[in-house]
Amino acid sequence: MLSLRSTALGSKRLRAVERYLYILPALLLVALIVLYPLASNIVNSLQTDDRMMLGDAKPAFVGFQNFARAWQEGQLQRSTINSFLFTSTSVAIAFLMGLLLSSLLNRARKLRVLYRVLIMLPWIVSPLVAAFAWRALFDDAFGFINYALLQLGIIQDKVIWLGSYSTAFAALIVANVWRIFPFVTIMLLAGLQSVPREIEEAAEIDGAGPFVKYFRIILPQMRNIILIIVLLQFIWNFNEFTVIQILTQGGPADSTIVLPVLIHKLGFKYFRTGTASALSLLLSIILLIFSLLYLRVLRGKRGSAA
Amino acid sequence: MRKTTRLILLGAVILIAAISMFGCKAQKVTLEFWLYGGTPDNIEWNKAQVADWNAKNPDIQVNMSLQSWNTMFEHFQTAAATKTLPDVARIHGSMITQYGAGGFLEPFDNFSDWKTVQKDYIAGYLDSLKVKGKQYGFAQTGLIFVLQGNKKLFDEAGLPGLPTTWTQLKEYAKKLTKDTNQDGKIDQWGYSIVGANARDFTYRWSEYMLKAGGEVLNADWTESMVNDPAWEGAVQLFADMKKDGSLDPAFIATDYQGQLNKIAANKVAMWLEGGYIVGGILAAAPNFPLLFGPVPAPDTKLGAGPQGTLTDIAAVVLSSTSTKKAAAWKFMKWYTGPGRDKDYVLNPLLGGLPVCSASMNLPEWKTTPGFNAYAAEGPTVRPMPAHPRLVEMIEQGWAPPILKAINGQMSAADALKEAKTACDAILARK
Repeated sequence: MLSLRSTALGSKRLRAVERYLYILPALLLVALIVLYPLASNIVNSLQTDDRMMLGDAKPAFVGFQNFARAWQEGQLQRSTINSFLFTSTSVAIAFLMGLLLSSLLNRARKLRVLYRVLIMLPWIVSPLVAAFAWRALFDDAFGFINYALLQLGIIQDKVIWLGSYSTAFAALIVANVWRIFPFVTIMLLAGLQSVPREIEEAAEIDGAGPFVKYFRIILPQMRNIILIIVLLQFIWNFNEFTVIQILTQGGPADSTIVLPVLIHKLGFKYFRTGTASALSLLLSIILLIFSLLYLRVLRGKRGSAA
Repeated sequence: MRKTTRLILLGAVILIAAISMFGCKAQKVTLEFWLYGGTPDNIEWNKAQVADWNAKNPDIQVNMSLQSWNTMFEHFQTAAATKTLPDVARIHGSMITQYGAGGFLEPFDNFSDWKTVQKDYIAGYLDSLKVKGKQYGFAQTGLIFVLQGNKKLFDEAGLPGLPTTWTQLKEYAKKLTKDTNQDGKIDQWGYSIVGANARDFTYRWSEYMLKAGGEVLNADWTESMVNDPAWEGAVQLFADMKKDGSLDPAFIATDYQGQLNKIAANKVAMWLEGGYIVGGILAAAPNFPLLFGPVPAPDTKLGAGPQGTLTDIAAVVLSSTSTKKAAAWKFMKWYTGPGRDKDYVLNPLLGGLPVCSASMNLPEWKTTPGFNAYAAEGPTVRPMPAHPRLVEMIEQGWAPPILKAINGQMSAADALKEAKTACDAILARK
């Protein structure tokens, strides 16, 4: 009996080890492309800022000096506020557009596939190409947006879209929403179609009108998927770099600068790798908080499904 | 002959043949050369030069690859950090300080013939590519920023030529600002400047500050001089032009290409640029009637420094990690030397200025578009100080408040106070 038990224990341990052996290659890959750069980033954030200038000399440990400096210089606050503003506005508008379009798509009988393909087109276009196209569209002298708005009589004079804080920020949000609303729409459509038909029919039998049915019955049923979409979009858009870098580079006069653009400037233009690493760590922490929220919602969804 | 002897002889022959083949293979060297940026004409010229070199030098082949100017900082830094720099590269001169001091570039002083070679080059250009007394780059071309204009628009306004003083500049810019199609909206502006990018703006605005006798840094580089009267005067000049409507109000969102488009479309009458823009203008608008002139100066000198315009440089550098330094050195001397320099200078579409002494005396150069303006500015031209934090001072120090002041959001004095605080903090940072 004892030998049988020890054999059973032994093969249990062996099975446990075997499981880890199977996932070892993937773990090593994750360690290489995630953990090593993260550790390197943490080390860089605690070392000399201008390390490019050191030549062969080793960078010194400076503790949290780079973090303190970023705070004192004021750029961290400005860029973080801009990041939150840019992200929350883009996500809110994309979400509202997604709600409207998904409802319309859900009702469409003819050409449904065509509508879905057309809606997905902005998402398929390369973000870099799209950003350059939007820059051309917003050009004050030759851009189509000014031309169209002038022809329609909506504006009396050409607007310098990328030349002032308010219009530049609005332009960034328009370009970004154009890029992200297709994914939001398709996800919301999937959510709409997952709402059991019986619940809608029951509401109709009880005399609920279309607005009541939509806002009191259908949307609450989609609560979890809505939370997941919003959280995912928040995480992705907080990290957005391409649109801002191509359209305004954080200008005019740093007024539209966001955290990813600031990190890029610090690291690649000013060679301040210490401060850039410190800020990218802060960015990671902010995104980690939202990621944990996302996982919590996901676990809650799976729990309720079970 | 005995069998053993025959075998030994055969072995020796095979060995000699193998060494010879290996030797021949080892002689052929391929250099990696990254060319950052350049107008289309500039790129074509460089391609032709490399093809010419390759045809004449089968033992040293050059593999030139075009790299984006817009991503130069990231690209070069990443390559430096991962020790994958090419053998030779053409980069912006301002990058010499960081990469030279960081040990990523090979100092030319390490080559035994450097003392002889340097005599071919104009000293001022070489000096601007030195770090702590060591030479890290050749200038491929010198650029002098001069005032340029649209002769057709000047003729229509009845103006004799480009202004030479700030008072004239404001007066002419106002006269050249018009509603050309009588729809009640201004669609032609007297002056335009690139403002979408802080660095591009600085390299087209600071000429006025320098012409007024301004300095960027004090003698020992411990303090910025941005509160110098020359700075305030130059900011106020542009603020006045913006206020009276003669400065294109969209300047703050205009990048280099946008500026080029406006020039070619006759939307702006005057601008300040290097000669490289000529090819782009003529490509967009053949027979475009260009005017060139020295940068206007204030009626009285405002600053304590010398008066002169700005020069900028594209530098050809050698990586310290190259394993083919001798071959690369040979190529670089040819590529930037008197022969190529002459060819570059005499090409009107390239807008380059001599970097080699021999080219200064070429009679044909005197017919290059803008020669008179370049000759007038040449003796007093100055580069930006090669401080490692120059880009940061521009983008985080002085450009944002200056742009706000020009846009009317704050006074010139307040803007420069803010700029000085920011720049001095950047300089003082340990």
